[in-house]
Amino acid sequence: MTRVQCTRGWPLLEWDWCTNAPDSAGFMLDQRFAAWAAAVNTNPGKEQHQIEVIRDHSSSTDGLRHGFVWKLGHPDSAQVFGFHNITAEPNRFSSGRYFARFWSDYTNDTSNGGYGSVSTGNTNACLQHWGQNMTLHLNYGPSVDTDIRIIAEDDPGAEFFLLCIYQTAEVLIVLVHWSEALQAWVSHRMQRGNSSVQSSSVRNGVVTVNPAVLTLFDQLQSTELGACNYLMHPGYLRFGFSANVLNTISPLYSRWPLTLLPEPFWVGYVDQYGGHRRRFVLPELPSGLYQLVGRSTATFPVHGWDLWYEAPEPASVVVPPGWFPLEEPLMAWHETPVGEPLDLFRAPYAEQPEIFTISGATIEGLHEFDVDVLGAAGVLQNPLYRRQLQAAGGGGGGGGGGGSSRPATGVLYPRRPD
Amino acid sequence: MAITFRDLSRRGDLGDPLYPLLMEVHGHLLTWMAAANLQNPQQLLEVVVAPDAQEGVIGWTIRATLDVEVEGAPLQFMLQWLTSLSAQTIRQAVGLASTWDPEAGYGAPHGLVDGPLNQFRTARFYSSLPVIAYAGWSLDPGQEFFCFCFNRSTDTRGRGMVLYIAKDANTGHWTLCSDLFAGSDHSAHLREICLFIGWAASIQQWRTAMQLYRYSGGTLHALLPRPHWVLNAVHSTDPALLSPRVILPLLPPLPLASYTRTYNVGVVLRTADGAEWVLVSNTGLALRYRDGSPALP
Repeated sequence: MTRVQCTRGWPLLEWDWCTNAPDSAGFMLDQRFAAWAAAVNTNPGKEQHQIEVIRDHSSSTDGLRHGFVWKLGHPDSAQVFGFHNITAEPNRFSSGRYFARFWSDYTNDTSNGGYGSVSTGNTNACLQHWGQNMTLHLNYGPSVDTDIRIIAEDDPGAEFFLLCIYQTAEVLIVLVHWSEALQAWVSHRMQRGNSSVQSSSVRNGVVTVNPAVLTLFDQLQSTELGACNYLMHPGYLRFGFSANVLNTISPLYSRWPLTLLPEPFWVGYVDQYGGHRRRFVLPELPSGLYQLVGRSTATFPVHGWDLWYEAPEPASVVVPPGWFPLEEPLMAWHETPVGEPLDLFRAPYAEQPEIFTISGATIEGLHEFDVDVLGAAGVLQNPLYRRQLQAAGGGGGGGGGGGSSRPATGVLYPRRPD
Repeated sequence: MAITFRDLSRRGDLGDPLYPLLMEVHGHLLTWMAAANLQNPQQLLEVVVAPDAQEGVIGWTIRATLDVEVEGAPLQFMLQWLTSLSAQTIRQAVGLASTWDPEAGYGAPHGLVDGPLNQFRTARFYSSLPVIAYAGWSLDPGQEFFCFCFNRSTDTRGRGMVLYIAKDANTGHWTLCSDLFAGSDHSAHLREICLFIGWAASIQQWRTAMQLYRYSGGTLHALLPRPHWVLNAVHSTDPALLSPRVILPLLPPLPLASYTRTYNVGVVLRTADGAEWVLVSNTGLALRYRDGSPALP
């Protein structure tokens, strides 16, 4: 296992996203990602899931737009994952353009400053590109310290790459990780500008619904109980946004699929929304728990979530040359308490389903018999309804009931006289 | 591992099925409770008020006394699920027995437990329609539980788990739970809420919860063995409580799992190993009423 865990900061007058200097943020980021991808690509089981760098910082054709485009491989449907700033002038601020789509939606050309384009079609099937809200400070400006933090793991089956960019109030989080259960790459992107966190994610090879905003899998919050602070490990996230959207898209009463984050990550809500970069150390968490981004809003239902990172013991961490330890960033971790009780629910991490192997979007070998059966045929197919019929002396005829199973004793009809 | 599972579903054309259904469940509950108390002499489960004890109101007032002392007195939880068929309302409460007012709510003798998990909803139960109803229980030491759910699918508030009395498998203390009978088709958030109370031994506090924490593996459309309860934070200004604390989640008994795709009470699942499960709760809690191969450990 190699856990890269590092940070690099640029004080306000030294920050320049658009420079081509060898030690620019973009090049340093590219180096880290390329090193991680090279290691991951040699891992067992990744032959069909190779990660390719399609564009990097040097791909800019106009010297103004910079970013990256990655291809996350899959035998059926690879994913393209890209980010670049979109301002065509060297302004101090720029929106970011982000896309996570099927590879087939990506036009691999030099448009958009060299970073290609994604088709506008099929937006319901996957993430749309986001064209707003990531306010990236491109170069010097008032009080614009910038910190880039990278955490990466190349252990087979547990691979992930996390990029965090912090600028004053802005946060950009990119997390690409392998899902052992799905046998696919999953990508997440969260950003915070002003007071809102927007998050989205894509599982490659699997069509997701739109909007693919993640909500925490379990919501303890309610209008009755008010807000509460908690973090959970391991981190489950559920695709989905609002109940109404859920009901118009999904079958009756169905939930949206889940995704399970890699082991070091915790999710939850801390009731000082908009916060980030907290850290605390507990006896049970001796290497520290780091808040990467805070929730979006205190109102219910909550649109957003906290992402926290549990660091391993320092001896197992690698800090690459030119980078600094995660504990010593330019923009300090806040050691202050949350200000309210904070509960940490920690349970053993289990990557694989324990009994039932589920792959893709189908349920293999798992049959679901709804309460609202489809006519007499459905009654006969539903195991419990069929038993009722058999107990009542009916059903069981034809092919559906499996022959007579009339009980030898008991009241047979009417079933339960009252 | 021995589970008793009963399909108590009733027709609706032979008179209102709800009251006789609850009385039948009550009989099973008393039998189970007597045996559970014998196995757990340090704790006590009681039916304080039975379903037939109050004119016009059916349901239960149940009390659990734990082998824990809080502020010099034994810790006592209470669970209430009550409905007035004439008023077409449901009152539910889960909380501390010390907050029980025997005159509140629908009046004596059921009264009402106070606190945040005290809920009041309108709900019409049609007297001439069938009801899907299941009860399951176990007396395996350390894994004791009793649960009862029903589904009047014609009413959006007519389905859920009425009773859940179970040992926390980690600490051995009784926990009480009842689904919130408040959901509508378009409110997934409300539909997934239950009312729960238990003793969080790792922090020496009683805690409530409104949902299960389903974490034991699996990612997509999975049936997850061993869900856990996540307990709600206690709001406090005590500086001693302001530092983060690690809490061990509470653990339902073994035959209970969590299904992540759908959550209609009464849905039956058959898995590849031949086991059969039934969803007994709006939270997706699934009861394994028939083992497959291999059997559960």
